Amino acid sequence: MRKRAKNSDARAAFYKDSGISWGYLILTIICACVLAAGFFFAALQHFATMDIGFKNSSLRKQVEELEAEKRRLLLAREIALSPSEIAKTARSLGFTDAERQPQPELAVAKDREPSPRPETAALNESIERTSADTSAPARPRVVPAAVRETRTVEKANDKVEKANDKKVRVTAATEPKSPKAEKAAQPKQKPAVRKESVEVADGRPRRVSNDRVRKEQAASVLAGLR
Amino acid sequence: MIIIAFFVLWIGGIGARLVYLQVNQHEELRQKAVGQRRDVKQTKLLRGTIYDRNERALAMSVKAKTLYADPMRMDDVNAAAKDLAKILKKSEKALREQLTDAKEAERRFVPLEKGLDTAQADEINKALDRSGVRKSDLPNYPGLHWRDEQKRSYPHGTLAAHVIGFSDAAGVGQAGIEQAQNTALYGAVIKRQQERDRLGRVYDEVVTEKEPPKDIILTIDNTTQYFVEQALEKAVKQSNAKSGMAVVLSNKTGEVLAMANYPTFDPNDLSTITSDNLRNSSIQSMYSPGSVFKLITYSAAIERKLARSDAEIEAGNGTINVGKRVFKDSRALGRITFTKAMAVSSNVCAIKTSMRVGREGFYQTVRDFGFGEPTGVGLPAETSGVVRSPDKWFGDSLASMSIGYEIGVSALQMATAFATIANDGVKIQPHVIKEIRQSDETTVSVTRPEKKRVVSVETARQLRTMLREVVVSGTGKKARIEGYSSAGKTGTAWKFDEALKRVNSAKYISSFIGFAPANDPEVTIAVVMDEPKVGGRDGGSVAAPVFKEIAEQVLPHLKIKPGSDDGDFREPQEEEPEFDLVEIVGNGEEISPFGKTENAEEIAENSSEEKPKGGEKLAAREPKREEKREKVPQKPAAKDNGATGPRPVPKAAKQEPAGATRKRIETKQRN
Repeated sequence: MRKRAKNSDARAAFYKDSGISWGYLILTIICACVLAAGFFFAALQHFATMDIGFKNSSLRKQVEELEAEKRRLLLAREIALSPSEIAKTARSLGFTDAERQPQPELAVAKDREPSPRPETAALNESIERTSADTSAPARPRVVPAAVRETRTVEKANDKVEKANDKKVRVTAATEPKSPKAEKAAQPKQKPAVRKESVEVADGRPRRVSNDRVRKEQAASVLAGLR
Repeated sequence: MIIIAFFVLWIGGIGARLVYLQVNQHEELRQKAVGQRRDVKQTKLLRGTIYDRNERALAMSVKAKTLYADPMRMDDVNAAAKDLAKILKKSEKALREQLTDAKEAERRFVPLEKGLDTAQADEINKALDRSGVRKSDLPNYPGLHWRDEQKRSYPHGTLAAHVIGFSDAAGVGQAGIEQAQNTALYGAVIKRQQERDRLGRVYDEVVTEKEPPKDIILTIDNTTQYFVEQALEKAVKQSNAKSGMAVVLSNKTGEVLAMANYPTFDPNDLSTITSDNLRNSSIQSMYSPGSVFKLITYSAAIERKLARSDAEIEAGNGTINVGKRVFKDSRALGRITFTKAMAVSSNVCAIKTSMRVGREGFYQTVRDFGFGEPTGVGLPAETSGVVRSPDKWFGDSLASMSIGYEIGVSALQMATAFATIANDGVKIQPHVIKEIRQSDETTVSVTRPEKKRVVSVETARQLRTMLREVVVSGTGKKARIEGYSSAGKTGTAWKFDEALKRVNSAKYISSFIGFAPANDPEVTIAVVMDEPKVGGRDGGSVAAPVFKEIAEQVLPHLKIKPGSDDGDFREPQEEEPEFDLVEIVGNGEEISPFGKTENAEEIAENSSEEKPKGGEKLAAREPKREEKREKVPQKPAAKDNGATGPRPVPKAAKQEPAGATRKRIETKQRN
């Protein structure tokens, strides 16, 4: 205790003798603190800058990667939308070339019943189709349908013929043959068929029988198939 | 005092050391420090993209990664080879040898896997990750690194391959637009200065780059190109031709909408490229055009008022001697109109017409149409063709040239000539580049093609009428388009044989060049087939159907309206007599639809043919024809020619074109 008291006395005497006041001391300390704080904040700034730099760098890299990804996606889209790829995909999905395969709607025609429309109109259309198709053998997709249509036409013709024959027979059996009755029965005998046979034959107006129409149709269809 | 002295010495020592390090060792240490923290990387920007006119990418580059090894940093090469072989699915032995050799040779770059995308690279990184290894980059495996590269991709494969071309592994264009516009497309070198911390993390980056690459927008229409390529491929295969070429031009703008050649190649797979399929024959090959060149002959005469489409010319007995050579028609045509002469492709009439024009006039017209010089389409290695000046001509050169021999043209040159007629006589430079722009969509340049009037509007109109007749009643009937009207000219020419040093009558170039719709032509389509071998080998049989197929798909796609004319499939009013439409190939040899040829009869003695003088005016006989037309309004033109000479013999059995009956019925139904 005695030593310490001695020392403090000596220090006070030293300060007193050297002329350093407390004021200077405090100022120095404050300056040192300011300097230290400055260094501290500079260090903080430095590390913050470094951190921002890291983030900036990673973001830049991310942007580049996203741009690259965008390009890759664009490329993938272009590949997917290229005509050859679309054709390939269509084929894989079961779509077929219209020029090579029969159309689906024509395939259905196989089971189709004779047209409910007036038989003459159905016949007209069918025969027109048949004749048109045979004139264009370069498109084989229509030919199978034409065959079916021809069969339908033949069936329809047979029906008309049978119906007419039946009527005539019934009329002949039950009623006396009068000129009036004969006249009334006459126009019902397949007028449209005869009319259409005119178109089918070769484009020139001439009369042909139903049998002949059928034969010609079959021949033209066969020619188309060949 | 001792303590103070110690401190002074200590501080002095430190000071001296600092002075030494910072003054004497300054440069060395600075370099070392910079080397530690700064990394300079040089990478290329992605090569520019090539788009079609609808901004669909035809060629584009994507980033790719290359895994490479630095064997100098590998402690155990054998272990590395084993690991890599497992992951990369490669031979361990081969990898070991590769790495060992490189280590012995002190090579620090051994590429292991190229062209990988990010997903693949991530998988490899995951598989190669080794804990305990401290590395600033991936993969976390000693001595392995990634290198950023780029991969050129052509999403549409073979589509427009000859126009686009391809670039090599170094990213340098080798053909097509890739080559022609290499400077614009080339990816500039980027220099990156990256500052890294002790862990290798980048905290500062300075990027310096040169001018960025540009994108090219072509005039090519993706879909049109596809239609053309499909039709061409089918036709080449059907006719067993050596090759085929087709060009679709927009008449009013000169834009090349499609340019196709078959066989072709896939620029994604450079191993498919051969000398046969690499050539863009549409612009790089020349051929004798044959009868399609008669368009130039007649335009020279009509422009000089030496002929008119409805005037008449004497075709005589179907032969003409010029110099020491005999040129023949398929038969004696007698006196026919120029329109009919064009329709039946009369050699005699074309030769007589060229003689009216004279050498200089004919040569001038040929040059005016752009023959003998490249079109400037914007693709590399374009041929200029061969057009000799009149002082180098032989005695029969004018006659030969008037029917498309002794001259070399490219398909594009010929298409341009037809487009000129379709465009009222104004020639527009064909071009394949629409515009060049920066990646930020700023337009750098827009192509403005040269325009030049070659013939008058009236001449062009008359020529269109003549060309229309070729399709309606002449050699080009198979070019009739459903729903549209068309006009054009067939051409069948012998090929020049290098071995024989003369034309080979067994080899043909068959072509059809035409435009549609005939009344307001929007597009010109040229189809040229090289050496067709199966079926009819003349232009009307081989090339005209291809024209039809292309036009029937392209015209609706381009939203071109049919116009006032209701198409080529009109219902005939009355039976129409037909000429024998056997096209004459060349100097006295004819080709039948089945490809058989008759030997030419060549007269080597003095010619007795009287040569009409150049510039001789045509005697007009039109009024008589007009009168006849008025009398028989229903008769088609073929019957109205009022010829005094022998009439062409109608075919005994008239064959209706395919689909005509159907069309008639449809018309009837509409009515």
